Amino acid sequence: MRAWRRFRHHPPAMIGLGIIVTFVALAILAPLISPYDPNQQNLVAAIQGPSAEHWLGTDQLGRDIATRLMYGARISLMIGVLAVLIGLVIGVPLGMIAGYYGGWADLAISRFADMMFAFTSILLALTLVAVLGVNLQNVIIAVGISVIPVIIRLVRSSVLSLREEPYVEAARALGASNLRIITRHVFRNSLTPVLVHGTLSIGVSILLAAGLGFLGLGVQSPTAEWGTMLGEGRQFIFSAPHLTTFPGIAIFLAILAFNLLGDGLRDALDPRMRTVDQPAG
Amino acid sequence: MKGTTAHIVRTLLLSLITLFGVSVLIFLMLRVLPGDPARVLAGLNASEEQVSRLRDQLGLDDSLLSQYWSFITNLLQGDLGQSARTSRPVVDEIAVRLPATLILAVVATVIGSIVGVAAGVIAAVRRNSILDHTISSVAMMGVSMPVYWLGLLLILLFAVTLGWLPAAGSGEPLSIVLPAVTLAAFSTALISRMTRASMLEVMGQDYIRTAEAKGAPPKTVIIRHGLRNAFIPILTVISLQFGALLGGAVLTETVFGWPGIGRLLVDSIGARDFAVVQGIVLVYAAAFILLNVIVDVLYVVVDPRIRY
Repeated sequence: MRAWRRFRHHPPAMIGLGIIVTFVALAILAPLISPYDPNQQNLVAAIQGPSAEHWLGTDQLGRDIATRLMYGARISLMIGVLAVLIGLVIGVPLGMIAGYYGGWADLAISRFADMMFAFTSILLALTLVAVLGVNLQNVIIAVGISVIPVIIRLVRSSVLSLREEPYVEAARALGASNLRIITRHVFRNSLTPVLVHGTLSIGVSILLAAGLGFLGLGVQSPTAEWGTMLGEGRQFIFSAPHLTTFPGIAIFLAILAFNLLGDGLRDALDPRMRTVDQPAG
Repeated sequence: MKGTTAHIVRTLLLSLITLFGVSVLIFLMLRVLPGDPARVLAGLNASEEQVSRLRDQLGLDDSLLSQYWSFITNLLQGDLGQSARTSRPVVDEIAVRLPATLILAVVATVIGSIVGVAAGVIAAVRRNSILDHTISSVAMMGVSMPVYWLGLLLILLFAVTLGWLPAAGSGEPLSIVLPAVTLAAFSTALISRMTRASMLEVMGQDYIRTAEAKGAPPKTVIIRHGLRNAFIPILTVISLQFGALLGGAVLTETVFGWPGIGRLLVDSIGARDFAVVQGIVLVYAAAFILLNVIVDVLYVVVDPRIRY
């Protein structure tokens, strides 16, 4: 409860949460808010600036940009959340095993994480998408895989310090099995850093997926995705900068929101903990 | 010192294992895919004859193990195969483009280190002042900024509206300014956040109070006693950022049409020129691993407290 109070009195975190709630609401309510179809082309109304009919203007094919951004929020948020889930489902158990058992298991798993780190997240995702083929499902898989090494290292180091805690020792002395100790005691106590990093990773994943879209190697047109919109609007940068400005603001706000929320969660749940930001595209 | 040498040898060995793993991963990536690797590597416009020649060369009818053996022996002799697009050796293609990427990453790292450390120290020393809040807010925005969008904004402002700097290419000396600043933005923000946190921790130590009590001038306390002791984590972030910048350059180079290997990678993926993709990814990974080794060794040199 004290954590919740700290969180509530953390203005940046509340701003972050507010932005995320707004994006989620816009994503869900898009069909009710906007009279337009996100993929409906109207070449007569192509490349218009913001107006009463089109709040944020229209793109090169006359599609309503505000509508596409709202539908794009569905895609970006979905990629962010699913990618982090993939990262957690694979990364947490591996990190636990490496940290708890040590020895050969640790050596092998840590080498695996190092290898993936060596690719850097953007290259790993780029190469995977290039090899697997470009579509939404593969973008989620590629971004998800690039989250794994960060989670492995985080959980491993957290478990390493927990392993020596008196309550783990006590559980072992009472004859608890390794599996029980890991799931009951170690897992629960490493939840805080996982939650904080998971939140930050959603932002990083959205950034990465949008980067792939910008390069033309992410979610493909006509599906509305922020990075792809930005990449396609790029050729009109001199004549119609609003084609890139609004998707850019959307990506920026989404990542800022998850960063603020993650920082706030960290301050609220464990004021002593320090996180290092992850590099991303 | 004996322990230190052992530690360095251990680091080198582990890195070699990682490097070996990376080579296996890259090797497998093209071979576990559905489809004929020879056809994939030869490119879209290759003739049947070229494909079958490449199949012989790669030994695709042999076992995976012997294929890997010839892959790795060729690699060690500096042979990464041939580009399907230009028919030139992949090594040459990379060698031509590598300097541009390195220059960009080095300039960005220098900008990021100087500005980032300075901003972080100021924020820490003036903790909770308006200046600190401003620096922290800007840094927060910096780590949330998509580089490709920042690049476009800078082009709009400095190249289109003000006309001060070239928008793209690498023809003029000033061409590097916008891509380097764009690439440096994230690192600058990250380094300043890390510097601030690290400095705050150090400035609370007893020896800082001792130095202040002795009447040492604030500048001496901050730099000689504070920054020097806070430098290890800062150094880590700076060097790891250099590696990340090499990778992050993929996006920046695309925005600015900078002729480095990042853009070569994107172009090669677009053209399905997988021999080049494979080569570039290997170079990136090797550079990243080498960098980590250097950082690890630097620790021991920089910080006399670290002994293994």
